[in-house]
Amino acid sequence: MAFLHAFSPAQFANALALASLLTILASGLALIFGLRDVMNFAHGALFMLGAYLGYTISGLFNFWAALLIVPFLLALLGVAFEYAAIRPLQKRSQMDVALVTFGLALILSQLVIKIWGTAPLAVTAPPSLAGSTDLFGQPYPTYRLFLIAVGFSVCVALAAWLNYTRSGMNVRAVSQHPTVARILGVNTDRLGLLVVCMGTGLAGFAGVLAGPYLSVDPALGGSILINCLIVVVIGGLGSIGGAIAAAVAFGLTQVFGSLLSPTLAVMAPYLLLFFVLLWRPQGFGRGRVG
Amino acid sequence: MLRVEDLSVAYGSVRALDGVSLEVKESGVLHGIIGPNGAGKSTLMDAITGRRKPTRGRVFVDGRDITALSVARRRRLGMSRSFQRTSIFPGLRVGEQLELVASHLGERNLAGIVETLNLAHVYGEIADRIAYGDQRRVDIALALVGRPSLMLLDEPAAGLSTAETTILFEHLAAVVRDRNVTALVVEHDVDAVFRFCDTITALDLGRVLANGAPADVRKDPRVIAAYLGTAA
Amino acid sequence: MGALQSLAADPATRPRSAKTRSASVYMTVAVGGALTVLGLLAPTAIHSPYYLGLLINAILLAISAVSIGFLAHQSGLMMFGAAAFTGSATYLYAIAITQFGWNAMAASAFTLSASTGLSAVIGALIVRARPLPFAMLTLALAQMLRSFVLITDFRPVTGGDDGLPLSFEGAFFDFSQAQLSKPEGFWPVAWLALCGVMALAWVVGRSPIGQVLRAIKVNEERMRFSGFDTYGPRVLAFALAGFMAAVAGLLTGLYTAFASPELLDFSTGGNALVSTLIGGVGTVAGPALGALLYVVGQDRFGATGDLEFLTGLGVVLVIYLFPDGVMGFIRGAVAKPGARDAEAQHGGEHAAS
Repeated sequence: MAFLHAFSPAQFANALALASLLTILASGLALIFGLRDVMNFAHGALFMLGAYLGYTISGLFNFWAALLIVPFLLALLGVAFEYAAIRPLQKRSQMDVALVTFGLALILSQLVIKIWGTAPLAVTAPPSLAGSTDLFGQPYPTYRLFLIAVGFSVCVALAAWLNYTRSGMNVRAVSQHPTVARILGVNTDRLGLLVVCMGTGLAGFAGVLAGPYLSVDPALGGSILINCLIVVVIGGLGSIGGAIAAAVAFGLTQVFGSLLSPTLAVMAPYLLLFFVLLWRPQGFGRGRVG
Repeated sequence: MLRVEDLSVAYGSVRALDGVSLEVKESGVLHGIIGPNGAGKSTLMDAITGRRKPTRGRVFVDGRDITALSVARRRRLGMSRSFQRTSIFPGLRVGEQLELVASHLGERNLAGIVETLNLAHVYGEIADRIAYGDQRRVDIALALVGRPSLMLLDEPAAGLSTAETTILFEHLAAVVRDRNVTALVVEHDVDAVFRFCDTITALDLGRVLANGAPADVRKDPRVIAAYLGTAA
Repeated sequence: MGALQSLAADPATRPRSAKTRSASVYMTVAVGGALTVLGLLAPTAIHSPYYLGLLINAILLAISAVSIGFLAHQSGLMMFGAAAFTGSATYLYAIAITQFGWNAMAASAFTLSASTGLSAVIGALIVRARPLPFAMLTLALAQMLRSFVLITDFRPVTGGDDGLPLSFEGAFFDFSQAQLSKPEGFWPVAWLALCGVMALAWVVGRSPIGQVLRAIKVNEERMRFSGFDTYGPRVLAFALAGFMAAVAGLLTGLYTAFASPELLDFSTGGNALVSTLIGGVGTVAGPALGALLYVVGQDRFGATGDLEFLTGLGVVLVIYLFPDGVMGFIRGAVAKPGARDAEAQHGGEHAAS
């Protein structure tokens, strides 16, 4: 009986909620890698910064204000990131840039601890989303349903952007055939800036969303980073559709796996990552956005 | 000495090599490989040296099937190669890299190689600071170390002037003669090939067009057809 | 060998005559030996336990940094997740003492051998990966171990998020637990370990295997085409780096008598990596210098809050301006042209390439 109970709609929804967050994050990471050939090790720290900023701004104003302001702030940070770190190092190896992002991740982590301290923070959901809704006869936290809805919307919006807008199509073109696209007059630098800001903005957005859902503490950056890396790599670098699929699969394995065998749930994503990186390392030459 | 049997290399649906067979029976032979762009010459080199796994076919050296052996193993058995795109050790000095390989392969007369290939004047220089022509010869020197019995040289004269190419081929002919080495040379400069090589294989579109002495290959109608528009 | 001898006689073409090479070797050994002995006397000169403790932290960080630098310089691979190797060693030591009930000596021997063995196995799997996937894999390894240690089922063994305190009776090389937990007492152990690890890195770097490794780093394919096995040496290098990292982890266990999940954190490995970069991977001493700078910087600037900014600035500046790190820069400025190591002179010795 307990076993059947485990596979309830509620657990399924939990998996989707986790997947939602990861999807938003992974899309940003995939975009930046696909277009800029930069593996952004600071992505987790940006997410964490977003969560902490979300906490503060929610406290000052409200949750919705945070949802608007924080991604904007992080997009500004993205501008600095692009001009200070990515552009000057464009001619250097992938590793050099990766090292810089790694260093940035460290500063951001320490900065967060400096400003907010090491104790975990509690972010409450806004009143309109607090409480529960009826899900197939069981009460279920409304906020998580909101999370799923937002995640889904972001995916749809991104897909629409990539496929139907000029800039989106340019992004796809540049990531697949950079030289040709440049010859055809696409301003890759401006596009790169746009994509980086989108990536960092999305990370901030996900961070604010995560506040009421996850525990906000300084270790948040590290753990979400690796999950994000796993999802992006398994989904096929640069492929947003793949990242979404991988995120959902990840959410499912985590939620259901931890019910069945905690050890396996922990190990499975890593084992999968090892497998993909060692035996099918395609895409590390050039990511493809699509 | 070297026998290639029905060698095929396919990339998906593209057949870079399609059933290539050739044989070089003796040592001390300079064997040229010519063909237009895309003929599969470099792929043939890659397949013989083990850089690419053939989808079909086998390679025999001195009667022994070496198709399954690793690149390093083939080298230790005496099959060496040089590269079309210079592949040396940029940060190391010329002398250092030659000595490194020489001691690994038990070469006792490195000085002789250095002299033959005219590298004495750059021996102490760092490899990526020397002239392009010198770098090409370092690439070849690395293939010459350790008394190989079979050398495969992929466009050794790439980027060299006609005069330099002639000198290079004179060196190669001397090496082949003096050391009784068999050398397969892929080369675009058809004149040089016809002039210096003992035997020639002509390829086109992954297949062998003709095999034999320069005079015969030169007259072969298929070879002439493939080279229409190019001086032959 | 007549032609080569005449080559050797000409100063312009002589790579480095045997005489100057062994002279610099003697110099290094002499200086190294002197510093080792002098360093042991440090507690007599530095009376403040605070500063001594600070230096010990620097040493622990330095050993990790040296291991990262060793692997980076010899193989061109960057261990983003060095914490996996140092932290796991600390845990192995703690578990050996608390679970197996061994004494310090046996637990230490176990830690070092098990860690090195595991490093060899992991190395065999990941050493052929390209630099970026390699870095991600080590990071994933660290995070995986961290999650592992926190699994509730394993709490009895690993201590969960509270960590694993340990205490041993008896002695570690004539040092009791109480002695080891104090800076003055621990100093000789730490200092000798650092000197030992640096000596190891130096010896291997100068040996034929070091030459082969660096040639593989520069052009792996040509090495295979020159008859070299390019896999075995790299696994060996990885195992050695793992050993050095294990030394750092073991020392942490001996000194703090505590194993905590924080040891496996992103930032723990990150601090060592940053130290390595700042000091430069081209030399053995570089990473150690970087670690010293880092710990001192943390002490000086940690209070005012400028450290984060400086660290970040430092990392970006170093990668951007000094591909060889601070140490490489100093060497380049001070050394005479003929005596410089060919690779450093080349300047293509990027931190990660």
